Amino acid sequence: MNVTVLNGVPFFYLAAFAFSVACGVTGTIRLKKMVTLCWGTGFAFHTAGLLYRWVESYTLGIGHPPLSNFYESLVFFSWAVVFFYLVLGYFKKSDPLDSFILLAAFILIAFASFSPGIDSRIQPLIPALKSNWLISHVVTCLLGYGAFVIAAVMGAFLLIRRPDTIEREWLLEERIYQCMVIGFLFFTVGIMTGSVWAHYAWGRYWGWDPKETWALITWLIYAGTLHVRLRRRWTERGMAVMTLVGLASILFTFLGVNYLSGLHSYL
Amino acid sequence: MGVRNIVSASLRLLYSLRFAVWVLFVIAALSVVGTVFMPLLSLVVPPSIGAGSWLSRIISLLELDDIFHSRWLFILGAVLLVSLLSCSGRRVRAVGRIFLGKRDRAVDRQALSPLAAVCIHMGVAIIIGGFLYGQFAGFTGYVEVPEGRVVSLDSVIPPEQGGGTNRAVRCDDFSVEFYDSGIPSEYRSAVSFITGDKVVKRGVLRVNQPLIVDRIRYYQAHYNTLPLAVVAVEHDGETMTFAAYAGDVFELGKEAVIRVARIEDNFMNLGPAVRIDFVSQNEQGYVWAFLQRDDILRRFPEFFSRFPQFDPHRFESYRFFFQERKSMFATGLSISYDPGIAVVIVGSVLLLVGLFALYCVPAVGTRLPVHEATQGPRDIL
Repeated sequence: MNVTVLNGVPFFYLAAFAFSVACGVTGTIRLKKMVTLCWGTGFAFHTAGLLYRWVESYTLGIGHPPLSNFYESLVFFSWAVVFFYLVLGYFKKSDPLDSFILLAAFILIAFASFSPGIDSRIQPLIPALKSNWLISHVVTCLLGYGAFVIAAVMGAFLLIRRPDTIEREWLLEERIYQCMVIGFLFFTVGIMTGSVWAHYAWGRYWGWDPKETWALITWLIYAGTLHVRLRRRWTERGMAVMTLVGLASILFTFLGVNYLSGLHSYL
Repeated sequence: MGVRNIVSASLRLLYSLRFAVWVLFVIAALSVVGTVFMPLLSLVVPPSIGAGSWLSRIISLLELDDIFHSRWLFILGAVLLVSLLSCSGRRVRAVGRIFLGKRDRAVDRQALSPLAAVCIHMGVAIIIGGFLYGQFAGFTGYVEVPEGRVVSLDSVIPPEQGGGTNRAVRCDDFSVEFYDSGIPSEYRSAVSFITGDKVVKRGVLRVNQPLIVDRIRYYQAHYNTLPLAVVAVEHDGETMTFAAYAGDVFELGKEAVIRVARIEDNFMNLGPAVRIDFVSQNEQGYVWAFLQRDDILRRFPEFFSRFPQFDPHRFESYRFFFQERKSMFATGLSISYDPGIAVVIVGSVLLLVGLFALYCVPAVGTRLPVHEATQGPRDIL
């Protein structure tokens, strides 16, 4: 049942994106309401689907938050992107460029829902994952990823289509910075909670496992970028490029390391 | 250029933002090499070419095969540490000037910002310091303890941490539960920690639930199944029975010693067999004892007489029989001692406090000089 609900969510996000593009092209005000209606309904179903999956896991006698396998982490990753779209109030600005954030959320949940190789069944937890740290670690990391994805989408806008005025460029750069800071905070907490968990589960808080190392690489990239921004010579475009470098690092941390041998390979 | 100028220029470089950013990105690049480049290289270069070739010598010389324990990363970590400390020192002086009133304390948040940055930098520096301290002063190890057996920890625990004092661990009981799909749902070991002849602690180890004994942490890491052979030895009309794992040694009175060298599930397609090494005052050698002895005799009546190494009567007055083969669990325990953890925790807290102070504390307000005026218009803010 939860999978049926979650399988419907990508269509709402795709529709919201399509209406938003149409709204940008035609300038029809009525379409803006359709955008809000579509992503709002999609996000409601997305949230309900996740919660229902959690409840359903208890009825199956397994009982764990929907954060334990690749399908669930992709679905939550997508949820985190839309969550920040909502929380940061980008939807209010009705900027057609922001609708590309919904496209990113669509890609993530569509990949989870429609890829034949991804098992959407609720699976029991292996002993190593039976820990209260699972929620705090995965949630904080994926919220961090969500904010970084939004920063990367806006960075891509800035590179592809330079804003008309210098004020708009500064505004966009400020929003990229805002998302990077939020992502950095959540990601730092995520790495720390993961270290605490590893300390209890494996007897060391840091072991240079590929996932851990790539989390550090991602953290270093964003730490470096936040530092570089302090230099006045750093251009908005340079910041935008770094968001894309950061996104590449996140994607490798999230997906790529599954193809390297390590303790975090869950594919 | 004088020495003073060189020192001054070095310090300026160390606390410069550009240098710190370069160090961060170089560490990131080195980590990419360590995780991706080397595994890819091992896929591309065939082992026959790689072993002993100029390529492997260069890789070994540059320590690229284990970057995360190489001098490169150690040096970069040390440089980052110095950079963080020098930058923090500079910022502490700036904060001091603000609070001593030597600089305009115009905006409260600006006063907080350098202090928060110091917290972050010191947090990272302390984490690196704690990690290095743990690496040098701590240890990690692993033991596999068969169910019901005692395994010495003296070879795992270094002498400075109490090793070599007859410390041992016994697995009193091991149990594993499975889901219907066959995946293990939980495994646990009831263990006793022994020093000398005395049990100092008993407890149950589960994954995610370690036990601490004398500051050393014990973790449920893995489990394994080991073959257990029940071997009977007949000597002078008496029968002695031993339950043995591979490698176990038993004394047969004062005259002989046997060692169960190997336990095979299907030796020469003749079923389970156990190799017993035998040493006495007069004889020395080995013999294979088969579990399905009668069946082998039926199929090959001369098998045991033609091949002495399979003959239970090989050694004078001793007869060896393989009576039963069992599968027993062995629990795998990780052992670690890391005195740097407390330091790392302090650093982590400092880092978090600094990050939240820098990015999450809103600007309190702007202090504007207000002068009492008796005449003229009033500004309403």
